[in-house]
Amino acid sequence: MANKKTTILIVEDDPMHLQMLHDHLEQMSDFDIKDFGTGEECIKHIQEKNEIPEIVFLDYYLNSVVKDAMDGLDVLVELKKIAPHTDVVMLSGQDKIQVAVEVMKYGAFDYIVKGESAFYRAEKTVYNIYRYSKLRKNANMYKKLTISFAIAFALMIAVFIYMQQKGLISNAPGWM
Amino acid sequence: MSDIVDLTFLNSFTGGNRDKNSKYIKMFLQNAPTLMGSMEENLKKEDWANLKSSAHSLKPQISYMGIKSAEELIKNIERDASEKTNLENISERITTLKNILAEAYPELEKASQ
Repeated sequence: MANKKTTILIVEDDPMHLQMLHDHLEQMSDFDIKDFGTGEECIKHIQEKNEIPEIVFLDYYLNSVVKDAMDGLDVLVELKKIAPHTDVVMLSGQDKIQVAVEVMKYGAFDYIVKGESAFYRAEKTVYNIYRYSKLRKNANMYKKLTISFAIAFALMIAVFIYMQQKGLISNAPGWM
Repeated sequence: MSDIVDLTFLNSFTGGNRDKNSKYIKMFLQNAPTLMGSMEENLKKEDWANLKSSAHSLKPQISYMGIKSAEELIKNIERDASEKTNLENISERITTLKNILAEAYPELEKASQ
């Protein structure tokens, strides 16, 4: 079976930045990239298609075209409700530490300031998401493995005690 | 190449691909006058929130097109509109920005061909 492509959604109201980021990510790998001008459109797409993306690049200000559009922070909160495992990367033209802290507090994976280095940062962030995603999967696998061993061990003890109580095995070792 | 436009970043971003350069430059030439018009309109209405919003959108685009002399100016316009400070100078700054962009447009048009 062919591997499923990584789905990346870009929510950005600046058409030029949207196109540049789309092209840059497309050049990186064979991603399934979809573009949205507002957070509302993106949320509607996820809900209607039931398509949970791996990564969302989300602009902090989204009201330059649609004046009453939800801002990035509200979209982030909604996204985390409907797709808690999706990694959201916030984009902004503001180089303010308070904004970065705020978005991270609400569950963003990273915060990228728009500018010449933004595309390189976006690329690095995608790699970091892959790395953390792999670590998360490994951690979950070890957790499940540990739980399975614990259950198997507990069952063995229970069977041993049961057999001992029923006299099927003696307390003394067999050679005594 | 004159001092107004420096396409070093764009060339590096596109790997010197002329078609891609042209695509982004054309997008800028389409967007920038609209955003500039919106800034002027919002200045007249003293709608600082929307003026800030237009300046905010234009800021990275100016940087990508390498219009260095406008970079600090657009940052200041965005900051002043956002904080509602130095509003007595904002009109002059917008005019200066418009003049810089008017000089940049023909250069960019030439570069996009």
